[in-house]
Amino acid sequence: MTSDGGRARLTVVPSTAVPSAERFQDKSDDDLMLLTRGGVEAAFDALVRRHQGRVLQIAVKNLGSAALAEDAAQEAFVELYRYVPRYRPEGKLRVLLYRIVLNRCRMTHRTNRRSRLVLTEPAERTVEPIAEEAVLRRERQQELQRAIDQLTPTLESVVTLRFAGDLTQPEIAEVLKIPVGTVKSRLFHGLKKLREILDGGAR
Amino acid sequence: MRRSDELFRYLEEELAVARAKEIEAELATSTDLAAALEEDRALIDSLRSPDPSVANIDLVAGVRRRIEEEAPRSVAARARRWLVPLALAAGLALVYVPRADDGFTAKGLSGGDKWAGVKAYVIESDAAPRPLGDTLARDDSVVFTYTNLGDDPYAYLMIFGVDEAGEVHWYYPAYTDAATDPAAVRIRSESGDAPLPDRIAHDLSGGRFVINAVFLREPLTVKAVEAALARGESFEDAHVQRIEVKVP
Repeated sequence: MTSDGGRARLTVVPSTAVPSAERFQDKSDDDLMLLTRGGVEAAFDALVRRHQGRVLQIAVKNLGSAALAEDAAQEAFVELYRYVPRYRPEGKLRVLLYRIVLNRCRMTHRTNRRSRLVLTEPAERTVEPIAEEAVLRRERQQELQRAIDQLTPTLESVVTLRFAGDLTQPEIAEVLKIPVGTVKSRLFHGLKKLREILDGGAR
Repeated sequence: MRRSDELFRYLEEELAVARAKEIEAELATSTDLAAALEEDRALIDSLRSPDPSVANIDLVAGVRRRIEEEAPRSVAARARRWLVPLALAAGLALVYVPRADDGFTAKGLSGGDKWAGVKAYVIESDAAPRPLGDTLARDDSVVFTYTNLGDDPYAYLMIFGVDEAGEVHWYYPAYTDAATDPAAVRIRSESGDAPLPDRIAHDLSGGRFVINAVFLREPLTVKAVEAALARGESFEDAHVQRIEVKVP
């Protein structure tokens, strides 16, 4: 408070009532975006922490490289931050975020197309013990990744959103702005295609 | 025999009940079909299983660094003053229980459906905001929401408190420079609790403290209102709501 001529003046202060990290846990995505808009930067960190796992999984399935996935995911969150001033709290942050992630992946595809196959080699971050089972699991993962890479982008997006992103079909429809029926047909066509690729085109 | 994508549809529970039962009956007798189903199930499980190459990546620090590099405080700094209370007040809606004497007040004599009023909330240290009760600690912070209903809603709002010594403490408009004479804040017609933007800190003296919310047709200024108060005048065509609290 300041004083002028004996009259008390009120002071507008920056928020010191910033919820601690633990208190963000029960906040919805919308709440966290609004708190971010209000200058509570830690709220956005909590959003990143909440969604980074799925975002990274979508990105790595889409790009086939941990390094590219990390860059794309990071850029996606930075882009999400740009939405903060105009974000409408309608409970659809995941839809917005995953749409951004897919766009980022597409952009990355364009600029890294040539290096993509090289980068699908075993990632340096993998710290699994060198055991036969782990090696087999990694090989299966790489085989699956190569199969995913052969899908068309429209099929790949639906499949990765459904299983890596754990989105429902209606949510996927919103992310991709397509009818739910189209999501269904692309999803099952994509799975069938993956099966054919993994089986060497035998079926 | 593989049935196109039907087994995937079965696993995703997308088949009609009757067709799913037919497949289940066939699975009981066909080892080929059962094996195909397990292959498809394994494929979906693989797609769902987290890729370990990104399992230990934490993006928080990198994202924070990129945000600060790219737009140093541009988004948050602009909005901080205006929207922190909005976000906090938004979180109050589910827990607020109106006090008997700070509810909506009829703003005019005609039409019982015309209402205007404010609600006050306090923030103690770093606790969550709570509705203002009968007391207000000297250093509590305050936020407000307002409702402004009716066929002819008010256009402006001023909120100020008067302490026992007669000192006037301005909430809206902000008044921190005696050389200025700010006008009432513009408000919209709002059917619900519309949050006002600022969280306002106090350093009050003890005793009785009366918060006045004045809904106006014209944008009166701070000095005009203080002069009217000093003369004991009332406001024409305005609705005044009083919230009286004690400051221990």
